[in-house]
Amino acid sequence: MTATALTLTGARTGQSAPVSFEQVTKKYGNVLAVDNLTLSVENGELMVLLGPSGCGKTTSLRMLAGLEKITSGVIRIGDVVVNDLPPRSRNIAMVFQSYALYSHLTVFENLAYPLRVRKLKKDEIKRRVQEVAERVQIADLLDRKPREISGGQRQRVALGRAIIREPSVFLMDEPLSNLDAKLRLHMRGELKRFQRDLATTTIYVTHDQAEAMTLADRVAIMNKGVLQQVGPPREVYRQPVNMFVAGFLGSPPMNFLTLDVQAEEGQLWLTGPNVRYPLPPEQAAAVRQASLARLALGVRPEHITLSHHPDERAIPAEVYLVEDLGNELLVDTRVDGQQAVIRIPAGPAPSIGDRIWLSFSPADLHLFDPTTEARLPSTSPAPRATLS
Amino acid sequence: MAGESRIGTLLRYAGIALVLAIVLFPVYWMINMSFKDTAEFTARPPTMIVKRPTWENYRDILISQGFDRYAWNSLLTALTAAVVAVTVGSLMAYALSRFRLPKNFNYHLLFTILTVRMFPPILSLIPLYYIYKQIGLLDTRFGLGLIHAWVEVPLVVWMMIGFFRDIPRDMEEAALVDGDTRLGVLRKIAVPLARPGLAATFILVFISSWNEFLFALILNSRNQTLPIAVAGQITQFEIRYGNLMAAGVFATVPVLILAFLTQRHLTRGLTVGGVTG
Ligand SMILES: Nc1ncnc2c1ncn2[C@@H]1O[C@H](COP(=O)(O)OP(=O)(O)O)[C@@H](O)[C@H]1O
Ligand SMILES: [Mg+2]
Repeated sequence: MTATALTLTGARTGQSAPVSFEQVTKKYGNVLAVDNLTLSVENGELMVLLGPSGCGKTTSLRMLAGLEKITSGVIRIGDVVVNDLPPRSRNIAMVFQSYALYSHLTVFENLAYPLRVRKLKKDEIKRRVQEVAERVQIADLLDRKPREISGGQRQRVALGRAIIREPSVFLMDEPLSNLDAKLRLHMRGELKRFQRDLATTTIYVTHDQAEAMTLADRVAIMNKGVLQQVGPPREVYRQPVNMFVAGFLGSPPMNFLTLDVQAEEGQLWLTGPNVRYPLPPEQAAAVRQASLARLALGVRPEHITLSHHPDERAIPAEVYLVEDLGNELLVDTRVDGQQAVIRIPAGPAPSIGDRIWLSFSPADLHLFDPTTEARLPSTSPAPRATLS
Repeated sequence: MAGESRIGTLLRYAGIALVLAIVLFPVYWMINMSFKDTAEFTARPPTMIVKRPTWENYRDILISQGFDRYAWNSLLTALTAAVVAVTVGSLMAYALSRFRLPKNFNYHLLFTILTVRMFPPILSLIPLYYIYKQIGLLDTRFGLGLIHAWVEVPLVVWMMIGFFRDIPRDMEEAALVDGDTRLGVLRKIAVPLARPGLAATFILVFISSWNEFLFALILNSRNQTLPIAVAGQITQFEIRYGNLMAAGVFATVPVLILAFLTQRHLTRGLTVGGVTG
């Protein structure tokens, strides 16, 4: 088994190729599905396309696969511009959200399809199907039809059909979204492992930020057809470039409080009817430079600590709701009528209606321009990961 | 059906029986009459069940009139028609279901093709006669089959387009990405999945060609098909009722057998497009 895995790995690594989108746009009539996408995926990298439903992830993948014509721009696989190549000439393998198994063929024939098309010899096909079937643990299902196996098994067949040949790129469109929660977690781990072993460039589409964070070498976050930010999970999480990215990553999402900016006593304050928060000096310079009257202050629920005692440097809030998740508490509060959620370890819970004070480290504070939603320049905490 | 009363069930079956009786009586009557001799035929009131069954009528048409030859002509014609119509029609249906032409052309094509069936066939008969005469297809079974196919292609297109639309698109796209060509996908994915529809349309075209009269009469008088031969029992001088009935039975039986053999495909094909994983 180990030996097989090794030969598989060895055979595959050399084939992988980088991918690049260069100013790629796709329009359906008047709908701008993908807007000027520029993104390069390195050889062997696992890139996750993340974004809400309808943001153009699938369209991007389909353009790369050759299933959708490009309105403008260039797509390259390796050095080859593939814009006008049919899918079969692009040497990609794709796992569809619906799995798209051939319902009239057995599992064996499903796996064999890409090899038969390539006119491999009978015993070679048989050997490789057997090998891959063992790898994805469906060797005992080879005679069944897709409708006779479970959802998880179908997923494995789809995966097996993708890895049975030596593609330059793997494309996966929400491959786990049809599985139940437990199986999804399990398969997520397996996918990551396969990708590591095969070391083949992979573009993985999902709307699930947790899935993206755990799988990705780098994440590309999209919204309304526009690429927002690309970077390693840690980086996009810590230094989101705008309120969309900040709000999309993390669960529950980042809290935003829109507050007035006031200069008093040689110091900047963020104020609301009940709030008077002194801006830490390291942030103040940037705010001065931007000369904004209002700011959106962002803090993640897990970065807030909660106190029952008044504090000059904290933000007063009222407890609106408490959710006990067993291992942790979600405290839903209101700050001048704006929502702020706090995640704290399980323990004594505040009661609804309690007056509490929220505090956080300046390093965990994110500031955004509420009109453009962009992050204020140079207010990012000292970079911990290298930017690419 | 849960909650339906016994009386409701009874009424339902009674209704079905009534409809069946009305539909099947003429068929029964044809069979009944085909076994009667001349005397019994003319008896008044007619006998509901034949009293002195005889093979005389069948012997007449099969041995004296050579109906086996006509059946052979019909078979060749109908096979030609079915093969050509299903091939051409389903290719067109596939193209229309998979490729989007500009300016809503898909719809226009689909509608235009229906016009073939909109004017009375007899209008095209005389031009066709001359064309066929020129190109040497007159009085050939192949030529007649082609005409029948031409008439039935719209039906095939309209039926098959539904079947092809029901095939999940991403199944075909998966095959394209797996490295196959469009034609490969058509052959290995679309056709197998649309098989019930192909079978159903094949049989419908076959039957329609088998029974067609007008074109067969004019364009192929030298290789008579069964409907012409059946009608031939009515002559200027007499109507050979017994032969007529026997010929009718003889012409119907092959189609019935065909329908029974393919019943499973037919019902599935005519009721649903059903391709489910
Ligand atoms: N075939 C199509 N025709 C018209 N609009 C489409 C088509 N496919 C996708 N779209 C539109 O393009 C946008 C992006 O879709 P998609 O790439 O499927 O999003 P995602 O995969 O991120 O959910 C959506 O607004 C969608 O409605
Ligand atoms: Mg999608």
